[in-house]
Amino acid sequence: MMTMARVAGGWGFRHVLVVASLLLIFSACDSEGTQIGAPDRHALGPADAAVTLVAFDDYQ
Amino acid sequence: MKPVVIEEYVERGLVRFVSRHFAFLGPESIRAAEAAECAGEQGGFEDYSRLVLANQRANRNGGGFADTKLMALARFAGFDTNVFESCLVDGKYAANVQQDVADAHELGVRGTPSVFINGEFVSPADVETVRAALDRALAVSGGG
Repeated sequence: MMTMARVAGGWGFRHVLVVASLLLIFSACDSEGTQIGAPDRHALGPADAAVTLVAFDDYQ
Repeated sequence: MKPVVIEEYVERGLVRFVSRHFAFLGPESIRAAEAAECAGEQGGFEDYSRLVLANQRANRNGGGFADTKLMALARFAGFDTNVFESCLVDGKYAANVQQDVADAHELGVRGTPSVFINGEFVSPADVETVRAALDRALAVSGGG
């Protein structure tokens, strides 16, 4: 039982490490990825509005 | 679509409207977008954008938005034309426009107008569809 508990505990810790690493990788990717609403050089309305509409348009 | 959204949602403080360029219909699309950025430098992005859109022509890239025409529109709108011309000729905002277009491609944008509401693509981008999507988003957020 002690051995099983140690093994389970060991795998649990490794899982935590793996998940934490993945979270770090994903958060890094997200911060470098394309943001729909940024840059918002030309924005109308409150910056803290609950809803943001981003429109991509062409003048022709 | 934009005037309706601004009147019904933005002016009531419910929605933030972000305008970005997807200048994909040729060189005059790109120059018009850069010109709008130059107008923005003088605080006139929205006014100039409306003016450019009101002067759309059927024959794309046929000179309707040649630099001389874009300059004339800036003059008509009352901008400092020396500053505007320098900005346009120097391509001061070319990289910004290119970045917007690159971002649009990366997001899967294929035509205009293309609308995202709280990150969700909304299609078609007509008034009724956008209005319904905004109402749903506001209901979910509790902001309506």
